[in-house]
Amino acid sequence: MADLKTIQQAFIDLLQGKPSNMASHVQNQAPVTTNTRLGIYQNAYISRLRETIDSDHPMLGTYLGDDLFDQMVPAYIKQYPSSYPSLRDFCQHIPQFLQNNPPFNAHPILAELAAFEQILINAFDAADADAIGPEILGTIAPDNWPTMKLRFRPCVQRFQANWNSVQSWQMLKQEKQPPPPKQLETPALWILWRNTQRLTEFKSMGPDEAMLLDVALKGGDFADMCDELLNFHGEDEVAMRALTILQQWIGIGLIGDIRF
Amino acid sequence: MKKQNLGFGLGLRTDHFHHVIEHKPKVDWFEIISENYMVGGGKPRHYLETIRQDYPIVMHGVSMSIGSTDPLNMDYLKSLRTLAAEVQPAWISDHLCFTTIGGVNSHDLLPMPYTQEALKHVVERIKIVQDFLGRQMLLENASSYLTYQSDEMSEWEFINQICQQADCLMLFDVNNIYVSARNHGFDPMEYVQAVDPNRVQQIHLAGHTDYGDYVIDTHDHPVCDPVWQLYKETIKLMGPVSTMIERDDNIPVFAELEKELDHARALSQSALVARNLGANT
Ligand SMILES: [Fe+2]
Repeated sequence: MADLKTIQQAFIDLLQGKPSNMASHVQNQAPVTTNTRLGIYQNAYISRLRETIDSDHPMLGTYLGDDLFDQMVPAYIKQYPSSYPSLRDFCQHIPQFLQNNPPFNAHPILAELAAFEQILINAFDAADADAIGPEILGTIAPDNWPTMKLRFRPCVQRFQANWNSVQSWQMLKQEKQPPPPKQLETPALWILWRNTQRLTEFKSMGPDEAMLLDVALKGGDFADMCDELLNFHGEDEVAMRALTILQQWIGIGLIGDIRF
Repeated sequence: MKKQNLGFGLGLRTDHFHHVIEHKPKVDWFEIISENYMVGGGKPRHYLETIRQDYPIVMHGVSMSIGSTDPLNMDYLKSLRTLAAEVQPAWISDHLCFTTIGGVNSHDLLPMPYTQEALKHVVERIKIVQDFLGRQMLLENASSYLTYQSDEMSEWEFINQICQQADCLMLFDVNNIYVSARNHGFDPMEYVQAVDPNRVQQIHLAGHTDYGDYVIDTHDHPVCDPVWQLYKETIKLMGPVSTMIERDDNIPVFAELEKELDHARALSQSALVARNLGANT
């Protein structure tokens, strides 16, 4: 008699479309054929994963259209079978898949659109943390400003677009025709977060704001932030500009804590 | 040892968060799908935190893969234990099945062969899990669409042995018994009569899709008459058991599920009367 491990391996091979002698482990029970019985499991496997891709990547699905989506789904399932307890993690390799596999890799905007949808999900599910209010800035002693470090709320995500992927996402979301794919002259930088109503929001950042964000995310303090701003502004303007951006971040609820 | 009877509950679904918080419906308890709350935070966690102030919660998982020959996923069990510490569920359940093999998750409840080898394997693993979680767990009978050549006993013998040897409890899914009975041609009453009532902590009721020659456990329809009938017989035999309705797809307005739950209450009530009368004659 076949042992447990042999049977289980045959079952998973069958689901993955690999050569499998699963049928030989199954009793013949008329009137339903063994093929029909195995088919129930095969269909369930594919359709469950397909639904997950569909619901995690609605705009990618629309952008691709039915034919290309139908081409992507089985190929992705084959190349990146789920190894996670939760289906929410299943789609995380889709950007990489689109980047590396024809015909999708001929259109870099696809991987970018998928990456954007992944980041939206991450912001939505991130751990909760209260945002600090603007009044905190008034409590900081002048001597402490240079060594002040920002702690972002876990939902805060940064996204860099080299193509018009975010604009395309927005058009698709409004059920409008997206613009033709276009590479941007300079990368567009976005920040995403979850607002107090627990809805995901995003906004574009100017180059100086994006630079500040990178410094702060890497653990730099306010003095480091001002130093980097010298690449964009005069010496007498940097502190004021850094403060303005900081106030905006606090205003939209990006900052969870301030440390020294 | 069986825990208290919670009464009549429903599966907590995203579509109904607002309704439950606003209207505090007359539902005795809610069951959550554990995996849906194993994230850092966000909406589901927030709503659950509110809802659990007013209702007992039980946790129901789909990824333990208790029957797999893969090693137990300790990261998963740690997340489960962490979630349980936060949610404080009345109990935790998963399915008698395997989901993951060679690291590949089928995200399906794949059936076990009913052999001595599989029995020993599952019992050992349940003991480890119960030690790790520091509590007894419930195992649910899954629906199945095939029977193995290697089977050495019936599903109900297998599950009875597991409960006894691992000292765990059972989540008795009446619909799954009906579905499997139709797919394999056994008498569902034989199953109901064979199961040790002292092990049955919870009952699931759900709908399915009937394809004539076979039935698929889809959870997207109301509970059907033969399943109601089987539920009534189950209560008549076993006495009162915490009962809930599972609806995972094609989710209706909350009031419709409440109506179904009222039907379960009424059926259970009349089954208990019949049980008491039977006991007196
Ligand atoms: Fe169930």
